[in-house]
Amino acid sequence: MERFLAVWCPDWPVSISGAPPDVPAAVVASGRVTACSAAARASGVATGQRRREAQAHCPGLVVLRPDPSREARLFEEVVRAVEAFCPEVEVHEPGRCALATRGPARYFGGEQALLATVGDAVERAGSQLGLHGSWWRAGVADGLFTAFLAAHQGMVVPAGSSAAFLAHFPVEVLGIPSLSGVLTRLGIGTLGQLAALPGPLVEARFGPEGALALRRARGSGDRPARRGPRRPDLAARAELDPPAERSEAVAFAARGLAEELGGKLAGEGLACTRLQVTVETEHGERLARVWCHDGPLAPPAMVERVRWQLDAWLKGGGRGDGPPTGGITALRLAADETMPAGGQQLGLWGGVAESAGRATRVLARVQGMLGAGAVMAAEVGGGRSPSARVSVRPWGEAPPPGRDGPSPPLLLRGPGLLGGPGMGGRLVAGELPPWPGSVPSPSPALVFRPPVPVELLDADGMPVRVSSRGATSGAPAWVSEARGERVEVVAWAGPWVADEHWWDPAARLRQARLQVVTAAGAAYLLNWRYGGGPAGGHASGPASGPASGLDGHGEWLMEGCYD
Amino acid sequence: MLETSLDVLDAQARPLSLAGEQLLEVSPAVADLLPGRGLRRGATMVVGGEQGRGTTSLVLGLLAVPTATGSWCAALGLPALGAVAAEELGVDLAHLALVPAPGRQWTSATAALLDGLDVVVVRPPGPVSPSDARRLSARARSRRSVLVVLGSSLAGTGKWPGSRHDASFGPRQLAEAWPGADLCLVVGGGEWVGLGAGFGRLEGRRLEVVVWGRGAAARSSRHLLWLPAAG
Repeated sequence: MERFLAVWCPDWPVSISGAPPDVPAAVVASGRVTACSAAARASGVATGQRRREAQAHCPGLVVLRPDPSREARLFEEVVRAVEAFCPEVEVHEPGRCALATRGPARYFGGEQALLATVGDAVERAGSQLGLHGSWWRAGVADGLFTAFLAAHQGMVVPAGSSAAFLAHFPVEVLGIPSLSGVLTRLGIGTLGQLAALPGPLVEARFGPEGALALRRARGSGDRPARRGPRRPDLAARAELDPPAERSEAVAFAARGLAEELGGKLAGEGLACTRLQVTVETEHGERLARVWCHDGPLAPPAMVERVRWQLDAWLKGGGRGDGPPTGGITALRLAADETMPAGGQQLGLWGGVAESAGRATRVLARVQGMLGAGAVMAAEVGGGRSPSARVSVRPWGEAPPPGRDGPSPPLLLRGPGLLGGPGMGGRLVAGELPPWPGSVPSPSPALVFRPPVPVELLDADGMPVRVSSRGATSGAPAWVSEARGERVEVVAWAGPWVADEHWWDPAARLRQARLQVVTAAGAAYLLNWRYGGGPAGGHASGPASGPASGLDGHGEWLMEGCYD
Repeated sequence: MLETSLDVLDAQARPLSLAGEQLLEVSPAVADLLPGRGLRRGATMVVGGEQGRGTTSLVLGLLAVPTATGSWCAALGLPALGAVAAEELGVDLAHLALVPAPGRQWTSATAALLDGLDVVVVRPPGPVSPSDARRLSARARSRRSVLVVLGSSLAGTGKWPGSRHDASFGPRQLAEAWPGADLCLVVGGGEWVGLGAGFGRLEGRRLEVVVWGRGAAARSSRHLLWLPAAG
């Protein structure tokens, strides 16, 4: 039975955020708490709670945003400290890592001595990162699951006594919430009670999950005792020519590799649980890291780990070896350990999954042809102008984590504008607050980025201005591109005045929008930017700064065409 | 219980085309324009018209039902495409890939996209050689995807439409510009409703579309439709 030394940093995301240890703080992702500090836990905050619930328990809670790449990057320092004692450290996630103790224990003269030495190194690494207090724990036991529980207590569990050690732990520590709920209701509250049940019956009742839980409860570990020889063909390698300097380019190559490896594994009916990522530079430097996961690692998760590893290495720092001196020339992904995969049964005639897979491959190919940023996906959110409402990101990238809860409904309308003759599209009743100053739908089909400067003249040939109260100085009659042909305006409406960021003088943006229809039958969205244009640079006094446009200066821009 | 499993099966089978006709369904407002009332797989459609006439809205209206029912679409060479307008017309942006600036390799990018996607909308940056046009149409035909070409008189870069309306410009000229086109649409005319002299807001427009095609639509026909559609 292989023995492991596990290093566990409880609440790693909160520890590295820089909040003082006695301040209650929690990391909230998509509206739920994912990690909280000890002070917050003392007030009743727990992981999985909604943000409002947590704030109700602890009104002074400091809410932090998740930053997985920073967590991984800083944890890399700790991993390097541990790596000095054993060449192969497995990283489970930022905050948990483990190493096999057989060799190192013999070298350092016993497991207690090894624990003390590793503890010192981790403490030193942490103090360089600015972490103080008891932010880490370590323990030694048979098997990974028991080792992490031993780390919880900070002790060395002697070989063979795992079952006795585990007996009094509650079933929730198994990490399988669906199973632990059922077990508690059946009256099985501790791991000792679970371990006493007959194995075949547990497996028959609960399936492979139950078998895993039983193995863990008995202290047999969730891995086969002897690892077979690694299969060399369950690996994928890519050469990058020219050498890549930035992690995005390598992450893009990693996507293709992860798909290839995933395909090989799926062909054998396997899924990867332990992934070795090796990155080489043109000067021969190598960084290899082993990533473990509780369940199967899907290709997107593999790419995420490559990105974490690269971010950590490229931003450098830490003791001894710093960032690589050259570009990255080779990337290798190897599946060290696998488990039988559930797999997906595709429909007989293709169907949704197949067409989605085909489309993804084709788009990835075009990205390879034109660049990763050439193919984009757009998403519509809230805002006042048609350009402000759209956010684009490269195709294939996950959307950024939402702030609090799900993103707002995609189509926003102010009150009083619902319905109307001939309005199509998707209507959403105004659940969210309206955006005052936004132009009602329909939205222009062509949105010019950047907007085009134009001139708007009234019937006497004088330029039309918009006053600070939002009144036009005259009825628009002619519109033309700068020094271009004049086109007659037959109908117009507006202005819709919007004052954005009025609290910040540097970022203040005052705009008034106008809809015009020309004699040729085309409709345009024009935008009067207060204080813009060549005459807007003069500041006559503190009250009417250049950006306020209260002195009547501004410029007209064509924002969109209702094509 | 049988009904729910049939519903699940129906939802999974939806993006597949009908066994007989191989048509992609479109919204009823624009279905009148197309022969067979749908986008025929493997066909090339050229849409033209001056800027401001409604070509982009028409194309977005054609993409509405296909993206919403799970077909994958892409738009090349349209840097000024308004995503909010697309969303309002019913397009599902999660199934629409945007390639705003394909550069010089736009023909190979279009050909690559025709391989795997169901509808590809492309706006060529300039005049297209007949061999390129024929090659892309043949690719669309063999891969059974729909190619929609926005005619070269359309400019997405802020150019004003000429104040003179070119009366001689029609669908046959478009067909000459893109040999291999199965269907040509020219959008013209159209009056906006809702704006007055200083009051109101843009509500909708009645478009006039002239359709000419090979085979079933060999004679040009003129259609009127409202965009945004009524319901």
